[in-house]
Amino acid sequence: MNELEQEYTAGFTTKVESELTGKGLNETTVRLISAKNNEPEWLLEFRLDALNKLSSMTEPDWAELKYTRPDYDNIYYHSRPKKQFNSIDEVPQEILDDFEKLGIPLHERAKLAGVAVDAVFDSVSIGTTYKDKLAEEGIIFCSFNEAVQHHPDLVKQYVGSVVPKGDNWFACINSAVFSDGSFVYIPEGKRCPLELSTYFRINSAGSGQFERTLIIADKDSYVSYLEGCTAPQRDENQLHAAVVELVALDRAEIKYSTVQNWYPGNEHGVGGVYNFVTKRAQCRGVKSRVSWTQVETGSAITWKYPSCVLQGEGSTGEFYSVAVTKGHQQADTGTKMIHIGANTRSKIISKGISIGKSTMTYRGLVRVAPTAKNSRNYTQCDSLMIGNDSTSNTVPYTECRNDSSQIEHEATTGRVSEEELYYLATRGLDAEQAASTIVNGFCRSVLNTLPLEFAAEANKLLSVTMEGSIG
Amino acid sequence: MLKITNLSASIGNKEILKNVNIELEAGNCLLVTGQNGAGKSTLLHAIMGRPDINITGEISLAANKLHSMECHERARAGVFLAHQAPPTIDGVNTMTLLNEINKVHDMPYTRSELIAEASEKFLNMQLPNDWKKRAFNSGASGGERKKNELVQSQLFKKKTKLLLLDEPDSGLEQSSRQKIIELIEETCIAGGSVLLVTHDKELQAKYSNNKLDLSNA
Repeated sequence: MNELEQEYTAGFTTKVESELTGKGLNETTVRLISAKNNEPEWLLEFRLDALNKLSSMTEPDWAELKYTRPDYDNIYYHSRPKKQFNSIDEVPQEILDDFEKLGIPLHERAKLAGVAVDAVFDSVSIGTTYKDKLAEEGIIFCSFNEAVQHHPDLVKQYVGSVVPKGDNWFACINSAVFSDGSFVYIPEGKRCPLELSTYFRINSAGSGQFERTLIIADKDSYVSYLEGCTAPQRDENQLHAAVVELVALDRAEIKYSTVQNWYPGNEHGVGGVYNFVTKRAQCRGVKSRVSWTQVETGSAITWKYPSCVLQGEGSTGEFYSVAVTKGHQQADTGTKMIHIGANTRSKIISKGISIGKSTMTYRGLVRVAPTAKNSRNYTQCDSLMIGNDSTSNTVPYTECRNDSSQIEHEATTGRVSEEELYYLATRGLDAEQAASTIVNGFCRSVLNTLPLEFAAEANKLLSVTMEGSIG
Repeated sequence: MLKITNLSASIGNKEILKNVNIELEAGNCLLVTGQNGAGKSTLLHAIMGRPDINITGEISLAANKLHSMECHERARAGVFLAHQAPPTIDGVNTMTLLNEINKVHDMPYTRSELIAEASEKFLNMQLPNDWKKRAFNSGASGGERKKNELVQSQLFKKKTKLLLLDEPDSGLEQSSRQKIIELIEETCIAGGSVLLVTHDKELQAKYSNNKLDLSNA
């Protein structure tokens, strides 16, 4: 907790010759991506159908976000290192060094113990560790493109089944031009013995990242999954529009954790990643369980609502979130819990912290359908503002359509006063220690839900600086 | 020793203290008096280094030039202020905060010693049973907040070279007066100095042989 990350330390650029193709959001680009990935016809059709749907859709404008719309025709939709490689041994040293600098060693000899990693560099997955060990258990953990080649039936059955192509503008773009991502299948009755993790990095200038993640937990299985993200420091905005689909069958459990640290832009609000992400889980099976935990500290713009559709009887959805904005960052984030099955449960714990001139909005929906008899939701939504120029909004929607269910909502809003900071200073804490103490205390209940391996990283990220934010 | 030379203090455009001079030998207590608005609290906060108070003049404590140090540095140099109206700090557990304070004061206690000492002192002050687990001053009455200040003053007195007591008795029952006297005596015996602001007649009487009246400052 003493280490302070005042500056963005993941902002370096890797010098690797990249092949940028697919400029502009059109059929040529879609066909090009599909051909590069050597995709079957049905997947090309999936993409083209999404592109077609997009023509009748508009970019959403209801979020509390102010930004210049990306120029979709000026983005390269596919970027990959020029040299192709078939195994980690062929990956250029520069890229391996890059991941190593970020604390993600990919070499067999230096692999992280207990964590299997899929590393996605711009548009392609460059390697997955522990793949063989997992395969022995019947667990599939590979890049999305590999899954399309080797497990097409599973992909075909589930892709787009949780987040339909035309779900929203950004999901629709992703469905048309997604490049790579991770694929996980846990067979019936298996407990995944390792933490699975995907590490995303946008490197090339002028490109976007549109990855797609699909996780299927078959009956009575369990998996814990973590994603991490960084990007180089650039003056222009980079677009990241991902789709994550989770499917939990009978009594299966998925824990999905995110530590998001995309480049947030500089102190004047120039540059930074636009993070428009659609994440949704479907608890299809009886007593299935999904929990989302997110620690969001990066990105210039965050638009993200990891959701749970609680279909199976007795299924449970949880959402634990810590989101911190500082400088000129803007975040509009929250969750949706859709109760359909009877006896379903959901829990939402959201902690939003805004510092400097930043804006933080919690937006949540809890919907209990007439069929969801005896269901329960508990929502606790707290926001904390530090300094006088930051803004915080809370927009909770609740709809309960039967009279046997209960929805509970608690919310608090507070501003750290100069009086509190002075008090801590009189006890010998400097501004950073004071902020860390307050922020950590505020977030503790969420941080406790993170997998142990990543709690330290999250703590480090949260060691925010107060410099220039008090006034 | 504490040496204050030609200290003037203002908040915004309002001048509150003018040309205050103090020389206080180590091991002594100085009673600060004056009518309301004379600047008694402002003097303590000026010594502590509250950021919105502008000062001219010099404040030194032994070899430390306090006037050129930031508030948290003054605290680490041994200035301890027991606040008149301490704030609530939501979300921050009382014991967690004491632990942070212990750390920045170079760990006078191990973690377990700190927990034991703090628990005993909270109990002794008749603070609620769950006090150390609560958020700092959360839901606390004025009197409980003052007790919390006294406990901290006692806990860290080994590290205190200058104790600033801003109406430590207000909101407390009569029986607590003895604890304040003990705190002052112990601090002085250990070689620290004390500045006391109080409206309590008995405390005033007890320390009236060494006093500074700000009414004319």
